[in-house]
Amino acid sequence: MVNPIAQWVDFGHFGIRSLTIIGMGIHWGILQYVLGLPFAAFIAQLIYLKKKDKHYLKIARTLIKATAIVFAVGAATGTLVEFGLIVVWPRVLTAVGQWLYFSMYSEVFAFIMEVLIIYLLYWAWNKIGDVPRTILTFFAFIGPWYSGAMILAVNAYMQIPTGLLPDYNATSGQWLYSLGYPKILLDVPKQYVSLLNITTLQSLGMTIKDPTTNGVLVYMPSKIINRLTYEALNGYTVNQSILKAVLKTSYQHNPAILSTPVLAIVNGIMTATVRHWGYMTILFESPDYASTFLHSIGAGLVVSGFTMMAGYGLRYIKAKDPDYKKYLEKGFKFSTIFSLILIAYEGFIAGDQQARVIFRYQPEKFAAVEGTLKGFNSVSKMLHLEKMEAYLAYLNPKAHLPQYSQIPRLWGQLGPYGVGVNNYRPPLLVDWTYFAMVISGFAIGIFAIIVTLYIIARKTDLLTKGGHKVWIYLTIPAVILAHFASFMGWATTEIGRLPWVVYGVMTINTAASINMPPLWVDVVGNIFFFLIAGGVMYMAYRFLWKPSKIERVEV
Amino acid sequence: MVLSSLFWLSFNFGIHIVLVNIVLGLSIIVPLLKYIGSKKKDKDMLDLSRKLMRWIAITYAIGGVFGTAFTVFLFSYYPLFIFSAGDLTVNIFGIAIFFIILNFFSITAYWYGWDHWSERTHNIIGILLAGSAIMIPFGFRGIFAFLNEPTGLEFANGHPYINEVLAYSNPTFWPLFFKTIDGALITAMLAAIAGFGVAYLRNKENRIYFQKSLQYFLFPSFIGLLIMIPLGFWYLESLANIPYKFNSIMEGLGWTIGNADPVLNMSWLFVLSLIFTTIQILSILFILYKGTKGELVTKGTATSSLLAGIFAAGTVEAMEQLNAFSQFPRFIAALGSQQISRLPAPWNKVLLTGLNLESYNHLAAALYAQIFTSIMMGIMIVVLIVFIYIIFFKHKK
Repeated sequence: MVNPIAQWVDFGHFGIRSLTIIGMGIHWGILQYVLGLPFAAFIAQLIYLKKKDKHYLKIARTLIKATAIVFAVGAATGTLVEFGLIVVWPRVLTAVGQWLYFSMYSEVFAFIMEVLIIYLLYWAWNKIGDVPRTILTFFAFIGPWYSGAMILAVNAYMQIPTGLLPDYNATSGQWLYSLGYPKILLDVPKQYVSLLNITTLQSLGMTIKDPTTNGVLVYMPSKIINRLTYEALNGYTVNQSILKAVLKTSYQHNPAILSTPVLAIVNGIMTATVRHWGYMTILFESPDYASTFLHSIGAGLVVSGFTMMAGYGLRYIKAKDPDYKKYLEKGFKFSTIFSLILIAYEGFIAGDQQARVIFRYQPEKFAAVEGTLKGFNSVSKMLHLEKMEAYLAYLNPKAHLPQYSQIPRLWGQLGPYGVGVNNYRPPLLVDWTYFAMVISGFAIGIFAIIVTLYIIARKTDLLTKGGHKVWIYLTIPAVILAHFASFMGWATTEIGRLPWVVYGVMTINTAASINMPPLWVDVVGNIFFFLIAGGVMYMAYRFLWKPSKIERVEV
Repeated sequence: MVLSSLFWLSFNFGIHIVLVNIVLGLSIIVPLLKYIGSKKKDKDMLDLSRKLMRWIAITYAIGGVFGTAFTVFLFSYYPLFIFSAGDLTVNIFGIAIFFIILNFFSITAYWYGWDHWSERTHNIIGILLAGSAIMIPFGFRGIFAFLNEPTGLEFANGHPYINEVLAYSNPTFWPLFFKTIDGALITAMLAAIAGFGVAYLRNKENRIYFQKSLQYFLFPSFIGLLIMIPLGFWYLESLANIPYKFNSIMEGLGWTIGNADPVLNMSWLFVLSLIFTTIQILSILFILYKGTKGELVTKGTATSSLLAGIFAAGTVEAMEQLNAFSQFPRFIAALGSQQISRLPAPWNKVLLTGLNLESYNHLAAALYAQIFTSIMMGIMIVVLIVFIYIIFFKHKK
């Protein structure tokens, strides 16, 4: 009997993984508001410009104030995550810096834009006119979206490296490991091609695509790339490497070649590959990029929408001042419709697209999500969703679900040349996380529909009376569910990729620092993260909720 | 194209380091002023501390983004340095990270919580603000000291690691740390005086703030400058173990140790920083002299304050750039290629590239990336100027 949680923990490095999960989780929890609140503020300002209704200006002002508070803490946790990645996963950052740096460059400017615009709006709200303020608010959400677009480009590459050929044929239901899949397109420079025994490499699954001006484009099996990455980042020379076995006989005793660091060769190949795709564009050509970006922004908007709904709703049922109550009613209606539109978008468009891409290119993750293993009671089986899931994933009624039980335990390993990973099957925990996300999303979607019906029927005031109030109180669990759905979606994406940090390229063993922090550092670090999360919630209460009791409409 | 890597690192670090010095100094000064102001029921002192708190929030935000930019440029141009540094400095870096976050959080809580918290809670957050600000350089200067001399670098099972206790016994750490705290206090106080001096020159209604800032900060900043002299010599003396760096700073003045022959002669920058310090001292003495004549608040003293503030920032800039460039092209000043090649394999090979500023990532220096970076940075600097104008100079509608 499989224990999905134990299976997840067993991949090792759990101390630093927990630091990363909790650190990034809290950062993500906070910054979703930075993605969503200024966008909502922009819409509110557009409505204000059209209707000249001061209540909408007040809504926008409140949302920008909230953005300024959460942005400060979000930037702090972002710095923490950045530095944390450097010290606990330095090899990932090294690889990103060496070959995939461009989006990080660009993100710096996004960050500068965010800081300047958000604080300019906050402090200069009354110093600028309506139109300039609306334009600034536009940039206040473009900044975080631009920032997200750049960071998510790296994450998309980690999910699906550009040039990946997947290892599953859905029509035949066959895994393609025996043919060397998954494979990744690499540009091997001429000076290396002339050293290598191509026949041996082809017997290992390498296929030649096209010659280029400076080398050859090949589809290289990921198990070879995995091993080479490990060797490169652990100081191997060619003499100690698997490369020695694929050298032409005439070079097998050449001391200059044998003493060459594998890192130099990997760098040469990766640099040529990056140049082939374009150093500015390689990340954006990952098949996962567009869907990851749209889905992540959507998650931020949904979480922000439901939180606004709760904030306005809970104040609405208690407010006394008629004008202030009117303002709160408008805020509540605005955020309810905002939430409904976005949860529908997130579930039926962005989420659907994201799942389809991931399941096509990471079939192991799909197999784990569906729990296609005999003896494992997956949610999909319990709800009899297998056929529908297969159809939705491949848009083919004859498609087969990938079978988890048929995944070889060491599919990512090149024969006896391991990288310290003894299981390449992703944890079945993602079966739970995936369906937790779907069910939570549906629940808050239905909730948003019900509340919207009150608004359409012009019965919003009913929500302040008697048993109808329950719908307002339910906004609190709705916020929690919105966050929960977002976290579960993220967990599915990240946990389902294990043991890979970069799918098909680098495992967690290769990526981790050689000097692990002691357990107490992991514990203190995690407590610190939770304190920050608690602190930001308290500040939101203290600086947004409490002042709202004064019931003042002017901005 | 090695110049592009050095330019961007130096540019971002240069802006970042001046601003964080101001933040560090103000993070100590503001809670202190607020506390004393509350105890004495001194409204002017409270007003001044609140105004300065706003400066912290703005300066921190701008300094923070340029710090992030520096990190991004560092790991893009020198990924192998990050590879080594990340593996080695996990705990020392951890100290800096922990206190950066605590400081960020205290700034937010202290700023937004002004008039919201109880007096006691606000003061406790103020202590947290000052304490965390002091501890950030405790972590970072630990790394800087390591970059002078790798005290505490040990190998076990073929892997390098840092013995943190030994690392903090690095002879260059303590003078560097105390210099940082003293320098930050001086820069923050002189920047504050300069800021209120400009406000007074623009509008005479700000006279009281300028006057108070002179009363509170002028003499302490003068004392700080005097203290900086022995601290500076202490740091220079601690560099005697690192002839490569020492000679780069001092050879132009005819003082060298051993036979180390640095690539760059940076003595001119050392002399420049001394000139800047002298200008600060003279400006302060001029204001003190005018004060004794009963002319503390005049156009002349305001201009002199502005000079002192500008040159305080210039001194920080010159000293920090001197500290960085005097070890070029070495990331660790005491480790040249000969010393690195004696380290255990394979680390000697990894570090030979990773610790050399001339071994930069060519992809990161690609032409279009440079054009993009230059254009975007230009736009951001313009936006930054507009930001500062609107926040500090534009009146409410």
